[in-house]
Amino acid sequence: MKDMIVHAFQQAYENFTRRLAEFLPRFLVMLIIIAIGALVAYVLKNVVRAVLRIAKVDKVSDQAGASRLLRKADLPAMTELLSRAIFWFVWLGFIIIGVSVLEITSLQQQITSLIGLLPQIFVAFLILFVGMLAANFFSRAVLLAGVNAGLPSPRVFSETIRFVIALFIISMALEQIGLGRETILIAFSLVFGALMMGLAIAFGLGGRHLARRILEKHFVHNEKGSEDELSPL
Amino acid sequence: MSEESFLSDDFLSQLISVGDVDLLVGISSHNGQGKVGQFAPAVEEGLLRNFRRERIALVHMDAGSKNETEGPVLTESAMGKQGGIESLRTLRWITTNSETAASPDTILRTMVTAADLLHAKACAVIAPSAEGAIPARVESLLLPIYRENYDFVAPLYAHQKYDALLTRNLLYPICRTLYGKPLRELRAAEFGFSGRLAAHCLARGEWQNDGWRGGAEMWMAITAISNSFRCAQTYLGEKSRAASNAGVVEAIRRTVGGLFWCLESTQSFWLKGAAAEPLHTIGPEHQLTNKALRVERKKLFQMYRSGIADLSQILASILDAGTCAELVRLAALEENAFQLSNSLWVRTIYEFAAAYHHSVINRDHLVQAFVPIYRGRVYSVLAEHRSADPDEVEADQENLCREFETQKDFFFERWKTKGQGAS
Repeated sequence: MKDMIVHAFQQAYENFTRRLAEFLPRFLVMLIIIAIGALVAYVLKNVVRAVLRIAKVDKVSDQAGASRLLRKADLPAMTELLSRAIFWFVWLGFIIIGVSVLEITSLQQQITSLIGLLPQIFVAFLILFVGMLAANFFSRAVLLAGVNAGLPSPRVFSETIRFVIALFIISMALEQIGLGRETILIAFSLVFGALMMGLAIAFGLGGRHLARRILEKHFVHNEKGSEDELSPL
Repeated sequence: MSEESFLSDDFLSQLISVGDVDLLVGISSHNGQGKVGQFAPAVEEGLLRNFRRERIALVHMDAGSKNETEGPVLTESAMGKQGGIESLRTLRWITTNSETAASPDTILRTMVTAADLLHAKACAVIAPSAEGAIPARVESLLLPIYRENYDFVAPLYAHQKYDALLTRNLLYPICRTLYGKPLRELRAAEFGFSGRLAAHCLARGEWQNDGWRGGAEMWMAITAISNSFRCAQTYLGEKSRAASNAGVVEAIRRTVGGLFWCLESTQSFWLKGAAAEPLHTIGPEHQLTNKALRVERKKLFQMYRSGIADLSQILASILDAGTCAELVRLAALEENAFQLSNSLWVRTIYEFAAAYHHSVINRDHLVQAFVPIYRGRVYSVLAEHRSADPDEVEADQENLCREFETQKDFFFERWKTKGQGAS
């Protein structure tokens, strides 16, 4: 009995030391890969940052209104954001490679599926970002046109445009990563349809006098002609 | 795209058949509308009165025409014989049609290219809607160039005291302060230029750039000033209100956007601090009239108030916090207490110009955000000059120009270093 217990302990100890002997070098290799990855990512980050600064990406971002969006979201400037993204993207790649050296089957499966999803996630983020820029640009254009034309509530028009574009790009981004495609499509159709119908009813019933005034202003010539229009030039 | 290929084959062959000329006159119209038919003989008369011995070509640019090449000008003109005066040399009409309305930029580019190809010594662009003595206008624009060797002749008009407020509150003071020349009409549909200036403008690459967007005439004037060409201005009488009644928003997009673009492209000239120089003026230097106009001032104030409220975020990214806060404070005042002072107006313009240069937001959006502020200024000027006579208005104009001068250093600083905006 005693021998059996000792033998079992001995066996367990041998297994442990054997596995530890197998695991430790792999763990060490993993740490080395991750450390090299950090170094490579750091160098790449600085290179990308320098290139983006030369290309004046921050200026382009300012012009497109992206910088304002980033400030609102408490994010750093475009150059810094992109270079940091590169750092994490590269380092994450090295971490995944390092972890795969450990040969833990279940972890490897998860990592493989995560790697498979990475390009889609990246594209989805790109869609979101470009879409947000477009939403910002068009909503500002609508706001300015509305204000300068003297339309009532131009902010409502502007925010509606922003909301519709945001809705559209979020559904596109989610579809890109394959999250409940049909559900998203149906939800989007429902929300968009309801919004348009709501606007049509609101404008047709609630705002019919306003609609009449706007149409008259544009299509019926003012026969009174009592006011002179000032010429700016 | 070379300048020759920019012109249609038909137009090019007409130009080639004309050969070299001394004088070139351009008139544009839309589908032969306006008074081009009656206008053409008057233009010819103006030319024949002074230039019987010169070779002359007249270019009629008709847009959206459904007629054949021979439009109203050719059929109704007497082709070189007006008012009993006959040309001793050639006087040829050239017509070019396009389906869509030609922009002022296209009209000027066509004229400049034609002037270069025909080796014209003096050229003039005449607005077909011009009122008054057309022959005298043609003479006034061409004579200083042809006989006195000027390179650019700008028109000078008489205005009703409430008209041309964008010209008098922005273009004229900026031109005077930054370029050192008191050119009253920086952007006009009528002007004269020499063959030398045409060749200089044509050689520059700006035609491919859409930055000026409708401000080509202004660019030509600024190019002439900033490249030491001889400039003058000549009095042409009262400006046709119909000709200048473009919508405010479009006028600002073209004029203010074009001006800011020109400021950027000539910064090496004016940042040195151009010395103020007198400008040769033919006729009275300014003329304002007291002709009665009914203007809806209340609407201007309401549009200023709602515009400032709705665009507060955009304005905050363009203007300094103090300037922005002052505009917001004014919007909260009662109508009779409202006054957008010279000081605030000038500071706002300078901050907008610097923000345009630093591209803090999309440039067209930035220029559009200026519209409510302009409306506020117009309201303020109308209230201030309600009972003022033309001399008092002119005295205020001088005060405004002095304010532009006073804040010039602030502008130079803002231009060179990017401001933080209010946000």
